[in-house]
Amino acid sequence: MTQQVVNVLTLGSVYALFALGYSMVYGILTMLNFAHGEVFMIGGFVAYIVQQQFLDGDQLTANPVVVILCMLVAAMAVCGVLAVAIEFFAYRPLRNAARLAPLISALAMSILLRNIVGVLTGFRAKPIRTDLLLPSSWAIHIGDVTIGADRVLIIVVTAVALIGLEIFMGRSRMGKAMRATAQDREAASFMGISVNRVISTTFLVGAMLAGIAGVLTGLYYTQVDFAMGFALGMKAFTAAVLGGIGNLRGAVLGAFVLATAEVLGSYYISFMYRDVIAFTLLIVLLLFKPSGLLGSQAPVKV
Amino acid sequence: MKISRTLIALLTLLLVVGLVLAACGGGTTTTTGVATDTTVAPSGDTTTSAPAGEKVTVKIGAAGPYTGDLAQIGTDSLQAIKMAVEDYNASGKAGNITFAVEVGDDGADPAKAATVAQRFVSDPAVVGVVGTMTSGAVESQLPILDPEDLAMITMSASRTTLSQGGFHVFHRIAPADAKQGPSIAQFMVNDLKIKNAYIIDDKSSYGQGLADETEAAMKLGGITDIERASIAPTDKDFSSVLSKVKEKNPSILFLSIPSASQAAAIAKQMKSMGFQVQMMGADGIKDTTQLIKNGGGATEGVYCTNFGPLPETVPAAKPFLDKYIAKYGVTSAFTVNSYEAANVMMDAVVAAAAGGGHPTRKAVNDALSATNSTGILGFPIAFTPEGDSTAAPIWVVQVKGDTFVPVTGIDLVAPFAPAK
Repeated sequence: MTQQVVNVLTLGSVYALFALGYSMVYGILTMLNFAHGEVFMIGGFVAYIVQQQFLDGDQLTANPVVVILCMLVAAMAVCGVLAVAIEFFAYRPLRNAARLAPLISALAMSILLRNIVGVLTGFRAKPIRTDLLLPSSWAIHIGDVTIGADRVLIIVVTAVALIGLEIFMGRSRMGKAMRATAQDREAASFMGISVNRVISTTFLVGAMLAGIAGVLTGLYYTQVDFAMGFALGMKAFTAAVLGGIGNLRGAVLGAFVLATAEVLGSYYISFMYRDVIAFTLLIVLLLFKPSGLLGSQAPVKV
Repeated sequence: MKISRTLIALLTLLLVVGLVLAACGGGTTTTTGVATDTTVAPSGDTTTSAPAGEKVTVKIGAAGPYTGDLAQIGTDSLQAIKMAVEDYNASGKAGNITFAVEVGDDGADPAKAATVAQRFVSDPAVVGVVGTMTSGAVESQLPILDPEDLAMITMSASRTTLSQGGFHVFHRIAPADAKQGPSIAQFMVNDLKIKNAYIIDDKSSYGQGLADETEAAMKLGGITDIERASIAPTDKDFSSVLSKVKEKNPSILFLSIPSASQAAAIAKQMKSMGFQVQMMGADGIKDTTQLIKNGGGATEGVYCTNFGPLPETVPAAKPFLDKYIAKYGVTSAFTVNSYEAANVMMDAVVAAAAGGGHPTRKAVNDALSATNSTGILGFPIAFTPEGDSTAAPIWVVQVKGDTFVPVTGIDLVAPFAPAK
């Protein structure tokens, strides 16, 4: 059972970091940012590139903790800049276009980035040397259950990131501006909030979280590949919807509910059917609570 | 805001449908890659018989998953085929024939494979098809190629039933699952003396077919305590399934999956969960980069199979391996087979064209069926009337350090040998 709890916490953490980006962007722009999955994937590749700088044959040339910190910082920077650029070039010009236009633009960005990375890497998975970065001697033993250092890292880093986000959204001026813009973009701009800056910041913060998730997932899967963002992105998006899209705490809650359903379903019922179980749960929940777990009924604008 | 909720509902529905399809092993996450056609048909004149002595250009169709989840083994295969054609043209063996490659990317998707087959059939310059690589795709191409007498030779498709459909154009140099499964079972039962087993397949036609054959053969060998689980070809997180393996603690974990990177990930995640079980896979995971290098030590000791002796131990394969590795760095599971398959096909075309002129598809197919040659695989290539390879010995190899070492060649004995 301990093993399953750890599995839920690891999977849920990755989903949560990833789902927040979908939810934040939807909250402000009511738009689905399909390219978010690719931003996450590129975070994973940044981890790979950083690792190669510190790798000499089968030896790390620096303290593993330093390498992982470099990975996280570099991934946050690259993903942040990338997402802001995507927003500026692919979404901003379409902001007042028909609803479906930015959606298609986002799909195009997703396919474009995925294939560029695929071609650059020869469609091969690249190894993340978790065995060197997080040696198995760092694992924690509880009874006969071993919790790898990679999982501990995922859970701890996610907890720190979520607390950081909560403080940022709740206390900072920009966080307040973001919440205001999410409530009513026009009114916020009348109050002197620079909506463009808020939107850029939203993409920046969401992408930084996705970058962290990309690095952690790479360490956990011990490899990164061009398609990883797409596969996990569907799950993360589901988590966001499950929790009530647009609601940040909802996204985190949705992530852990989805992870629980998947892990328990695959363990007690069948590994093959875990997606079926997870999505059945989603459909049933949406039937009874269409706005998601914590989603509020959006007021009808007259 | 009503629209947005409808939109979300629609998108959710789309997601569900997509995931269910993906779970069915269709590999729906393939990317929209671009198939590149490397050659342009010489304008029209190839359909009619050219007078003897005149240069004739014929095309070999190369089919395989050159994009998508299996793009890696596909790309390596295509590079080997192109290299074979280059070498053949340069060797002078082709006489007045010049070979060109017509590329057909099927992404391992049966539907796309059918389109590729249609394209080959409708291009009169194509006289033979090398590929395609995956069983599901071969299955959808055969009914299209067969009525046109367009011969195909696959380097890797192993589903047993492929040679049982009565298609006279079918040829393979890979062993059928009916042979690979019992060979693996015999090695595990007789050589490793296992007491029980855990089998993981990926629900693909390759993975499931091989898992079924192996399980049946293990039962013949007296091992009945066998548990099975399935993963999806896109999975990366194996913690749930590994929790079950850990509880069972089997003598062997047999990975009936075609993906070496998944096999490496399973080994590494097992290590991080703090337990170890002897693992074995088949030919699909025999990949130096993905299994050994990316395995980072966790895959040490893993057994897998090779079709024929290891290419590195076959002297005839050395020139090709040297050239290929100098150009592309590494080979994967079906690279050498692809080179061999292309050569066998071109030999057949040259034989069919003996006497001059443009070879007909039927003559190529007949010549291919009559093949009896020894190439770079280290054993003779000949076909049964059904198109299976007559020799096709299976070798077990093991990961030792940063390379594979041969363990033993499998000669099937009772009760594993097929009943005659």
